Amino acid sequence: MTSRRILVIALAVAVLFSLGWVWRSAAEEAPGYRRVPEGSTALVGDIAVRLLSLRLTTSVTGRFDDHLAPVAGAVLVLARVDYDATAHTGELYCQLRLVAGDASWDAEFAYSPPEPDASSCEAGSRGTVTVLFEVPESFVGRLEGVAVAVGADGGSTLLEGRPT
Amino acid sequence: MFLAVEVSRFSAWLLIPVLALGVVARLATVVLALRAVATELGAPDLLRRVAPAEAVDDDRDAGLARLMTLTLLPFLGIYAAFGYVNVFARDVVILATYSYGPFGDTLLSRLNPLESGTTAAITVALAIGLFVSRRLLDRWHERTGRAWIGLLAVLVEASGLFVVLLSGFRLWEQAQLWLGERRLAQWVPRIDLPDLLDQAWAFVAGTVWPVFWDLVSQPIAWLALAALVFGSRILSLDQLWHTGGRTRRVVLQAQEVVLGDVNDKYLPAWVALRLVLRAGVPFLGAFVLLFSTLRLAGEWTTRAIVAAIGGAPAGTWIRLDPFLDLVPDVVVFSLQLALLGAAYVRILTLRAQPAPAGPPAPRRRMADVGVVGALLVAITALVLLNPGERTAVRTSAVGQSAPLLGGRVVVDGVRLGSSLALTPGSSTATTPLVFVVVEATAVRPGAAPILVGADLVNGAHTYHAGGWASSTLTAEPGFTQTGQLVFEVQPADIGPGLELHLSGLGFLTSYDEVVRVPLGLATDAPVTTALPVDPTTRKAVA
Repeated sequence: MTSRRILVIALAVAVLFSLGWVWRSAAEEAPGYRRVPEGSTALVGDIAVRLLSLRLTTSVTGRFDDHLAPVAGAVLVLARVDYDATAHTGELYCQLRLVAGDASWDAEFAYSPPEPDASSCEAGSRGTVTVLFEVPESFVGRLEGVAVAVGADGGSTLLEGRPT
Repeated sequence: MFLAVEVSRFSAWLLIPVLALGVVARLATVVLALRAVATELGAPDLLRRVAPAEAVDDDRDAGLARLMTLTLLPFLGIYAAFGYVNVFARDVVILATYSYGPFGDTLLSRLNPLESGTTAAITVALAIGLFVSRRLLDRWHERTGRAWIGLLAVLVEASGLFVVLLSGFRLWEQAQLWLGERRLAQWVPRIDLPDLLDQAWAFVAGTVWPVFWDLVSQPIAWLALAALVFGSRILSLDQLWHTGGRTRRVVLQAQEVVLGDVNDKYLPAWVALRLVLRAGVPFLGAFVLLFSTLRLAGEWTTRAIVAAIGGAPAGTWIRLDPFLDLVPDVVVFSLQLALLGAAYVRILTLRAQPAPAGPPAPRRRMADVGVVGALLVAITALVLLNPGERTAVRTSAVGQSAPLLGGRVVVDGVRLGSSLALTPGSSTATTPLVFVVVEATAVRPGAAPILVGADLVNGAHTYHAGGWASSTLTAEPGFTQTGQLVFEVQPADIGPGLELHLSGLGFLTSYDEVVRVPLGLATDAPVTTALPVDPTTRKAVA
């Protein structure tokens, strides 16, 4: 094989790889979520999840019966997610994040939902998880739903929903 | 590597063969490139002219497949010895952590033999199975001479390496821990060296050796790798077997049975290294200097490109990484290959020349010493030119906002106290030193969150933010966060030299930025008692 032929093959491979990489990057521009339409149930590992509601609010009662209000220029969003983890045994780690394009927010620790709702899923059970987010008003129009992370699945399932 | 992370979604063990395939493909590319350089420079003909009559004339020029089977295994041996395979393993773990998140069921935890009996059994079975398969494939390859079997043996060898690097190392660590707790460990004699010797050893082990390893041994290793591909007309183990005495034969037979790799991997590598080292110190010094200069030029270029792009979230760096690698892997490596080819041809030419009769003349010896001295100075200069960890350091001032990680940071104020009032009406903390309370704000108008770490620095003294209040600043998208960073500082360090260093703590930032903020304190700055420390607050970005 001549050096020139090797060079041509190498360049062709490099161009193909670059095109493939650019295509993959563009596909993952909004961090590669598996999107689940509003109201539908999704399986994340062996956990079934469904977004019940996303509700805008200006005031809730906190974990220590204190009054929680958003800072100036922000709003509170209550997310309710139904889950079924009856098929799951062992340790269960599930986390919800509110998503708007590339941006996402963690749930507020200061909030704990009234019973029977829970703050996190529990292995071997089914129920409703309710969490609170604080987001800037400027992002409200861009909210897309709640990303669910369970174990090795690092939040790649997006339960679509718009706040009401 | 990206394919390996993708397949690990189905099973973490699938990552091993895919990663091994990646390493073998990379090595094959290097072998091809080296062979192209060798052919261009006429190295095969030159080698035939200078080789001793009894040397093995292997058929590496018969075809690419034959060349691969002859060179890839020893190539992999040296490649692994110099830590390049470890870099592959490290990068795949980083990429998997980015893709699947750092918590829960991570890639390393799924391959951890200490997590479950099944994983331990798979690890041990794979390690043994791959070792035995490799030996069987070698035998089969020797008997049939089929190239694909030889290449499969290399793939199996690389898979074995990754089983050890990603999983089996835990068993080794566990064994070390277990042994350390046994009484047997107490029997190992301890030698208490004098302080001076202890410090000298720490300097050699911590400073001199890493530089030597990085700057000197790697270029020589690459030259040995080039010699492997170009051909060094070696005596094989089989020939040594037949020409040596009885004791030698017994030793070699034992090596073949126990290690099995001597003929395939280490002997060619060792012969190649010996050939290279015979070129002499001045020649090798000049080669090391040029090789390292090219590497550093590549590193500086990459740093400049990264600095021009500026702060960006982890995802951006993951996407840019293959293109940034083009600088060291294509541009710099092509130049290094040309240098390797030229150097190796020069070594062969020197070898072809008749050795001068008698001892070298004093003038020649003096010239050699002069050249070696000059090279040492030049190599030391290269060490000093090595790009540091930090890419960009910006200097700001109290009350002045500075860009950091795509967001902004500002130091709002500084106060000194001998005690802290931590929460109103609650506990206090006192110190015989001085508390420095710095109020700082991080602003993140965009989509990615910002995580900022803070250190207080005065000359050689560095203080980390303590646990009395915030130790970091975190701003989620669209928010600012204001926190009180509390440091406990020696009174002698209070003065104009005291400055706050704010830096990004984000995962995979790639581009390191530091904002230096001189706090402008006088040596007699007032120190108050019961300094209030306010809780962290946040606001939405206007």
